[in-house]
Amino acid sequence: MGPEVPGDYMAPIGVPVTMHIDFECSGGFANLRLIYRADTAELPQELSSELFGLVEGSGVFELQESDVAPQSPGPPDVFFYRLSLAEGGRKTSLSFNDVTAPAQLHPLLARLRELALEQRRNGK
Amino acid sequence: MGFHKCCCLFIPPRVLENLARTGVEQARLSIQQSQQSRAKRGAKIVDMATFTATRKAEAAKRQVYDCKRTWLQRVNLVRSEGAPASTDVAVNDAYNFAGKLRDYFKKVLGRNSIDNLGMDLILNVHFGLKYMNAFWDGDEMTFGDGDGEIFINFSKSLDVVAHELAHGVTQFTANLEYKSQSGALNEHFSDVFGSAITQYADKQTADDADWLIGDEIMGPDLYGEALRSMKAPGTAYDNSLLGKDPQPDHMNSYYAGPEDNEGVHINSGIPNKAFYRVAMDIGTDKAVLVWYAALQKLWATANFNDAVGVIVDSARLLTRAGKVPVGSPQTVRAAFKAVGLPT
Ligand SMILES: [Zn+2]
Repeated sequence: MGPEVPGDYMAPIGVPVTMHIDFECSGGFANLRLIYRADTAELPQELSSELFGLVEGSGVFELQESDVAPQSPGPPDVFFYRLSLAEGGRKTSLSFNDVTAPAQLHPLLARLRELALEQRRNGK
Repeated sequence: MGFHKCCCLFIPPRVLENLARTGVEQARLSIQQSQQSRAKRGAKIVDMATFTATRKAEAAKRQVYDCKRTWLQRVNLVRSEGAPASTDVAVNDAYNFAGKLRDYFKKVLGRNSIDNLGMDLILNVHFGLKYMNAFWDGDEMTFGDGDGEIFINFSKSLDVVAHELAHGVTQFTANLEYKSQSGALNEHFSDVFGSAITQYADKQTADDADWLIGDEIMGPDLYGEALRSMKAPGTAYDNSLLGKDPQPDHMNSYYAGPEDNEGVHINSGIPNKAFYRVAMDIGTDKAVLVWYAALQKLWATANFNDAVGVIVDSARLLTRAGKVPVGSPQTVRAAFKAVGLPT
């Protein structure tokens, strides 16, 4: 990875970029319902950069709803997701499940699931 | 022979739809699931023979893949049928449990693997990172490692592996649509087989079984909890991390909301409780014969009332054949009546 392609997302100089995240993961064998809503402006810098990096790596803004929306219910026990992101001029809102989501989206989903549980542990 | 290593044809979705419509048994693979599998893995190739009536029986060989904590299936084939044990416990658990399941279906129910044609059993372990789930995707089973705190490895539990494999059996029989009541029945049959096979493997009776689902995969934070109770739906867990078990044990507390595909893992508590009652009366081994006979006669959009009718009728036919005790149809009817069915 060359220096001109940084791992972490970099906002254009002078433009404070924040991202709003609205995530829900439900169902699965355990029938979980995990929700995480955050504005990166309100998060610690380290977590905020991590999330920007995961979002960029996921290619989520390039996905079309029709690429990932399940055509019918099932298959059995997969997680079902709703994810909305708004960042600067970009916005997306998608529904998908574990098998319709591309592999590169999963690290972001796993981290958001973890953050949802962390919030719950902290009584939020 | 698995589809990944033979001469294959990609079948256009319309052909699959037509095959399914004309009732070709082997075409009853959920069309949607095939579409999703293709979407997931690119143009996943489907074995033409799977969709023809002339397919020869196979040997139900086990293949365990290590996903190596990636979000991809079938990364490394680490143990195939007859191969020596791996150094990885998760691989050996998946392999051994799949063997027990294959034997149970063959010996007890006379079924030759998932499709009754000796379909190979594909199991993926170590899927993803801290993935707290297991699923059946239409042609194989996939298990995550859990987060290590709330859940441990999902392949560690015979009833979880049985539950997922049973989704495959349901797909190749009733093919119950995975939403609302037909979806809750789909979940119910998987819990029935998960419990019945665990009891069979552990030489337990209905009386001394715990009737819990998922208790073996709870991590240190929630050790002692479970995910579902067939004996007492709604009591499996109650804690700040997972909330409270939402399963009803009677139609009067039926969940009518949109979550969980209209409650597939929620309303399954109602028929689960009925199965428990029947098993306590005639024995789990006999009850499962009735349920398996019914599964082969049910259809994709069957609802709870349909299932009650078919299960009672199966009990009657098996009583006539001397396979279950006299009085079984009455027991089944009473068990469903006690949970408010039929409505
Ligand atoms: Zn299930």
